[in-house]
Amino acid sequence: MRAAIVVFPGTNCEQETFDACEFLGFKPSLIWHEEKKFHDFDLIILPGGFSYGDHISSGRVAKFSPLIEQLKDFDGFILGICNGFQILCEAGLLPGALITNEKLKFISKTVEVVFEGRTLNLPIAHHHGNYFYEEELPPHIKTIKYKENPNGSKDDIAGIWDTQKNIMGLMPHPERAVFEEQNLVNGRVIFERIKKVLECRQFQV
Amino acid sequence: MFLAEIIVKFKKNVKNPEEKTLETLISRLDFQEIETVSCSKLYNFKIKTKNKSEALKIANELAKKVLSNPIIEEFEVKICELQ
Repeated sequence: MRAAIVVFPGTNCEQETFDACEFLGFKPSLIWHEEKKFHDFDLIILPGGFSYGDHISSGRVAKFSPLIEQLKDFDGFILGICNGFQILCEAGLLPGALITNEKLKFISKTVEVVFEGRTLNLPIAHHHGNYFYEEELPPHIKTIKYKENPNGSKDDIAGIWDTQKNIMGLMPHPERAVFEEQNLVNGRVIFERIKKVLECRQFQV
Repeated sequence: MFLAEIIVKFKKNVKNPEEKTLETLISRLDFQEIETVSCSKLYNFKIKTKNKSEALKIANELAKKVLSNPIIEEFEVKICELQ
């Protein structure tokens, strides 16, 4: 199963994401954000970092990248982590927007989130993780929620998963919770769940 | 040549954390006369077009496409001719 990890100027979590993918059985590649040949991959990951230095607004400049503009036609799974989640929202691939944390602070700590009924310990590290959306999210959008809201996010949302389009955005960093030496391993659950979705898809085809 | 002034601000239903912090600071510093605070971003562009309506169209497009996110922000465009 092939995973592409997209690198923008200012991305800084690509290597950790690469290592996590490799460890969990994906065949990862790092690709530049101007790459046009990415449709053979099963999974596209927009990793964390500060694409274009968060100028204008987080993810605002990255949404004009050739790869992002073509992502709507990609039929595999798309995962946006932290800055990647911000880019997906800015590009309109996921609903809502991420604004500055309620207390204006950069928050870096381990939090508890509930993913499909299971509590996971995952690290967060962000300044703009305060999720906002105007109306109710449609039923095909699953939510990943904080047990204790760290940043003012609406309805305690830490991440969302469009189960129809297979696009997931997460503020927590699952790639920082994979190896024993990272002291947390719950991030594996996220990658393994994505793998399962992709396996089912291959089976159907 | 025209000067476009684009102001981008949060919509009324979105709480701007920066405003709240500023309000707290203002009350702590005892500026009793100040009643409300609103923060926005101001962008200025010099635009070379034949007429004002063309410049307005370009500025609006730029504000919509690049400078704001319609989910959380709204914008205002003002154009004046440079002598």
